[in-house]
Amino acid sequence: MKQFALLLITLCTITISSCRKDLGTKCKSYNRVNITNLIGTDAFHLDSTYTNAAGEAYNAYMLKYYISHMKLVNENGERVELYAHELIDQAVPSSLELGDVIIPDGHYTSLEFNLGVDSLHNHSGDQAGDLDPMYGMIWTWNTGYIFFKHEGYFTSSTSGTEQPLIYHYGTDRALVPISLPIELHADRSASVINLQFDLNKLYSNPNTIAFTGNNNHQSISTSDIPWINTLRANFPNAFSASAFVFLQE
Amino acid sequence: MKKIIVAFIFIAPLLFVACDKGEDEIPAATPYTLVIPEGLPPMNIPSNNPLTVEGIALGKRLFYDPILSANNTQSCASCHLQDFGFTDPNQFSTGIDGIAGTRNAMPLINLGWQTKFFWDGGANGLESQVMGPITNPIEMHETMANVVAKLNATAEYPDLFKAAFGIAEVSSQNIMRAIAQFERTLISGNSKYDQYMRGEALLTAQELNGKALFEDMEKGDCVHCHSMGSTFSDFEFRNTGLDSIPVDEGRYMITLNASDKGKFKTPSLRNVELTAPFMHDGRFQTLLECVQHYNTGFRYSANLDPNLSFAVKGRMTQQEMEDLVAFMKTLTDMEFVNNPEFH
Ligand code: HEC
Ligand code: HEC
Repeated sequence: MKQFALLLITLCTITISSCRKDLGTKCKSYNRVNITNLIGTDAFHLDSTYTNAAGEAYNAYMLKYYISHMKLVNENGERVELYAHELIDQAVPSSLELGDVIIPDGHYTSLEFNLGVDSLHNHSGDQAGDLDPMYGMIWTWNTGYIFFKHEGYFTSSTSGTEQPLIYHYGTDRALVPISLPIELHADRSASVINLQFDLNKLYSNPNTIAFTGNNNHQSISTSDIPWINTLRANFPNAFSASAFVFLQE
Repeated sequence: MKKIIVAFIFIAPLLFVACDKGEDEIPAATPYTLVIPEGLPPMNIPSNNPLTVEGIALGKRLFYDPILSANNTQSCASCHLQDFGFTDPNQFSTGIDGIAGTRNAMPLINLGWQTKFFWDGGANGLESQVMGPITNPIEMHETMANVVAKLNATAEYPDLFKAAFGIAEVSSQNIMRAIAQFERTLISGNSKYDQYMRGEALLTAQELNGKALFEDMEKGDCVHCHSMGSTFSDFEFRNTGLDSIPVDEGRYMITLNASDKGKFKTPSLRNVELTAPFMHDGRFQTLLECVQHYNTGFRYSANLDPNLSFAVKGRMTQQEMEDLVAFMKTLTDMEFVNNPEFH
């Protein structure tokens, strides 16, 4: 993967300069997306203890989610798709680096994506790449992807004991379209977009979620629907993005 | 993954110039022509998983191989036995940890004409269905990732996957596709009933009377759901009044629509003589008990299928019920049960 990135940067430079020579062709840039899971301003770590807005101590031994159809939108509203389906797994560092993609030069003003898997792809396990059922992010008795999985422990505010937390968020109604403002002038350049996901914000902004008595949701029964609606409302606020040009020819 | 592909498209032309050594062409798998018996409709085969001789052979091998279960003791065939129309003669099948499920195993017959699988239709497609039993903790209790790793580590399987799909590396997608290919070949269409329809055999007076009752709106009215014309099911989800308050909520668990409570997939009646016990929970041992249920036993509830809520209880005599059973037995296809291609 590392060599690959290097190779790409070299290739970038080659095409960027060749594009200069050949003024008739449309010029292109390169962009990559890096994802960081956060708690407030600190990097998130598996198995570390955090405190949510409801005042409960909690951790996660597993934090995974799907991002689909990530697109850059330019000032004219034109979209370029960067990635189809990406599984972000905190335990797999390479999954947080979404790699270089060629984009047309332009002034990009927002980043769009879905948290989850779109309904066209959500109902079959016969898929490869990041949608491979091997990653355990699919319900097999009711074919559909688990969009977001947080498993860990928390301290109950009533009993004071440590209890399991199982959040498996999904089904078509749970898909969250997200659009974030960015400022990117791609001009024969190589850039990076840092996409940040704050787990504590997911559980607090705007709706505060307390885990006590609310610690097992697998999107399977009608009683999970209010929980799905709450998370769906919070997800857009848990993400933020910023873009940097790091190579300009 | 996608990023590599995108990048590759870009550097591909460069690479091809650099290394045009020409990999050995992988021989394409041999296309397999499915023979559909007269009377059955054409089958929709997904264009991304065409049937091939090598794919079907691999699927069959996987179906019978206990390597798909966590402790390598149970195969698909442990619960789907050919002698019983590929179902389990036990009311509830027992998984590798000795835990029994709560539903009766389903026969695997003419699956290629269906689009939703399991009693509640939770699996969308024959390929996707394959993950279910493998990963179900009370069945084979394995993970797809482990199955892929175990198969990759064997001496034979990578070659078999290469022959079938052109890639030696075993993937969950190709495991699902191979088994689905094999399942599509499990076609039954040569029962006495089929031979009668083709003018090759005669039905007895009792069987003919049963057939008439099966179609008679005032009597059996079975045809409404177990549609004639070959598949003997419309594969819709119906509440047949087994309980007024269903223990197993069936289709509701998938759709969460209250009107789906207690609805289950209408099973095909082909080979039904061999697939006892009956219904999603295997509550009936005999076909006569099933007919008695439709005649007098069904229970009322808001979700009871209209075909039954308007039916008069006790509309069939004992003799008529027995005639219906005699007709259902004409759907037994011994050629299917003994087909050497299937084991
Ligand atoms: C432990 C027993 C058991 C094993 C092992 C098992 N099955 Fe099943 N099978 C069942 C049961 C029980 C059902 C019904 C499940 C339900 O409706 O929830 C079923 C349903 C099915 C169906 C749905 C049929 C229909 O008409 O909807 C298919 C297809 C199937 N199994 C194929 C397989 C395959 C392929 C394997 C091996 C990978 C397998 N089964 C292994 C017990 C088993
Ligand atoms: C309203 C639709 C409907 C009608 C009418 C109907 N069935 Fe069914 N049948 C079903 C459904 C649905 C099931 C599965 C029910 C369950 O398990 O909960 C079923 C199951 C069966 C079974 C058990 C099959 C198995 O593999 O377990 C038999 C036998 C059967 N029906 C025969 C008949 C006969 C004979 C008639 C006419 C007297 C009839 N059915 C009328 C929908 C119908």
